[in-house]
Amino acid sequence: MASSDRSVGWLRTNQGVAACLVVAMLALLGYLLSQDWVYQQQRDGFRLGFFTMVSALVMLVCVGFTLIGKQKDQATPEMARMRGSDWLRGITALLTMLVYYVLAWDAHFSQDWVRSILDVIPFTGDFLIWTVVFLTMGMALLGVRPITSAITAGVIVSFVIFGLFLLIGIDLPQSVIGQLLGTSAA
Amino acid sequence: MINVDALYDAIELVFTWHTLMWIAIGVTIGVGVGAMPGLTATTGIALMLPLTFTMDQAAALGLLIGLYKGAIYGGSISAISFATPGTSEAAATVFDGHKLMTRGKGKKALLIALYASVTADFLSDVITILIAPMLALVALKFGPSERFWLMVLAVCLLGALSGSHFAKGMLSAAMGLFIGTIGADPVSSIPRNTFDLWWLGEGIHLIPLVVGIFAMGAMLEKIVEMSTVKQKVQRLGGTVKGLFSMGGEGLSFREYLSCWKEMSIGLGVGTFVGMLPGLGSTVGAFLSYGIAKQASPEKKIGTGKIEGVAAAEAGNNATVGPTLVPLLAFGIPGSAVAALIGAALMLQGATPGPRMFELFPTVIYSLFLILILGNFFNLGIGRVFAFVYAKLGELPPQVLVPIVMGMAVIGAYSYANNEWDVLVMLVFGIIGLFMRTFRIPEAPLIITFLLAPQAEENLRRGLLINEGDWVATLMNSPLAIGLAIAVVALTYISTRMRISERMTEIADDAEAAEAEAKAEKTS
Repeated sequence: MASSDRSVGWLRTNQGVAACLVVAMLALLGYLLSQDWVYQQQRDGFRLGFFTMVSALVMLVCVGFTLIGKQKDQATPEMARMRGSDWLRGITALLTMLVYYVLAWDAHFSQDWVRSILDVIPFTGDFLIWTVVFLTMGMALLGVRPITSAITAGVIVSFVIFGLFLLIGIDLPQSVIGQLLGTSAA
Repeated sequence: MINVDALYDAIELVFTWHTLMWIAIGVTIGVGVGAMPGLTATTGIALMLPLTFTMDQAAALGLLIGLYKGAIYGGSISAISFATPGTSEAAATVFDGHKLMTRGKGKKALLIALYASVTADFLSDVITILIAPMLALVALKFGPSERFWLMVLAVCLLGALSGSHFAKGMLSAAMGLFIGTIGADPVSSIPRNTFDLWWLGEGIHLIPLVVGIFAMGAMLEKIVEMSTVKQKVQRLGGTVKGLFSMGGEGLSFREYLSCWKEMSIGLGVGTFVGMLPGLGSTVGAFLSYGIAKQASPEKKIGTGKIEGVAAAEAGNNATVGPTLVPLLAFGIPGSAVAALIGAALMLQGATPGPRMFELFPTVIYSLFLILILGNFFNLGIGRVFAFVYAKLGELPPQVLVPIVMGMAVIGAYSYANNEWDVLVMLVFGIIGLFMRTFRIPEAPLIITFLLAPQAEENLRRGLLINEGDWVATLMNSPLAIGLAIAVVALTYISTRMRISERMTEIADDAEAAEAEAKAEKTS
């Protein structure tokens, strides 16, 4: 159900969000029009950028309708509730996931600087250790109390996930604990 | 015409301990996923999808279909126990289910929810098995241009019926098409739309896309909710504990039979709604509940009657099988879950569509058998473990969120052991959060993403046949012209009559129901 509360800032209304999206869409269209592959014609007479351009134009039209449509002054309840700090919280959570992945899988995305950092951190590429750390920290930061409950849940869930994936036959990164238990998958 | 050899092969494949175990696991996880507020069938299937590529076809289908069936039923457990529907599909169940619970008849409510779900699900599966092959025969007569227009029509229908805003539905579909064009083109394999990033050369993989949009996006929304909405954990432990005690009031066979009318309404409405792209089980449940209420005013549905629970649960579970009809008959998924099951079939090397009945009859028969068998597992597991699942509804999101996020990372990576997939998944996580916040439906994005290569192949095949003549390609038969007119008419009607808003009003009753039940509980 949409809200048309006047206390909601313009930027959070359908019109405000759509205005931002129009700018993004125009930038995208400008970028696409500057690309050679868009105009490249194939033997069947089909231009390689046909569907890409159609999709970008439809996106622009849809965003345009949202900008001027009947519901333009309304804001979704979620959008009305969201603050800048909430977006920041979401992005922080994503970055935390990325750090977890990099540490647990010893992933460096072909970047030397990431590799050099990983080289000085102990236990990189150890799935179990980093999963326990991530889950425990995640639960504690989100408010699980007492901390011992978060630690217990983190340890148990990590081992269950590790065992489950091992059972299915999906390789997870090598683990010191896994080696000790003789169950390491990789 | 039944392919007897393929049917025997399918029976041999499905009736193995291995496959039966995965159906049981799927239903077990599914009921749990449904019972936990914040997790939906789509999130559960998105998380499990990466695991299926190491399995054989029957096991993979068993896991996913079992999970789907279980999750649709599982939502009713927390709807009845806590007035908090585990999934939006179960929101209509709150009206009567929770009132029964507060009167000490929770066991009766849970049992009628289970039996109505399984009855309607089973019968709608039979209808699916009868209808899908017939429609596939019709679809086989379609040429490239008819198939192309059918896909465009399905996308327009999805835009019109998903979400509260036609433009937002179509925006989602256009996003899916745009993402679908990233990477090598499906005909000549020339890289395009890669933003000069070498790792996008292969395109966006489906797994990181769906895991990001559905699982990571949903969890990020939960994190934001936790900071904006004060969480009140209300425990009904004492009441829940009494649910399956020996003294609890059960459900007699006579009471079950007395709900035949509501279950029939649920079956009819759910089956029809399930087959239409874009509507889904939430609309099925509310429509069925509304019709049942009007059809029998003397039963006073809405005041805590088992008939109300039966109508809502039959209405949502009856969509489970029929939602696969457009996928199997035309290769066009009608819902996000159907798209994910279609993706699982593609991962197994069987592209869904009318030719699947000829090329992969064993897979089709296995799918049909699993659809039917899943109901028996749902019945057994739901009946025995409903109390345990009711406790799952109390699991705080603070515990759930990090676990699902961790699973999302593992799933995104495990599919192709590609580190860039994790990055892609995280990017789509934030896009998913934005879509949820701005109420852009996710299903059209995924479905159009899956259809994009097929649409391009069909259009280009038509262009090759017609030597590059676009008019001859797009309008080469009365059916193609008819479908094109239908696309224009649907778009016009959707924008003028605001169909999507009206359909969403039905689904929005979910929020009203929840709020009403909570207010009642507080008072």
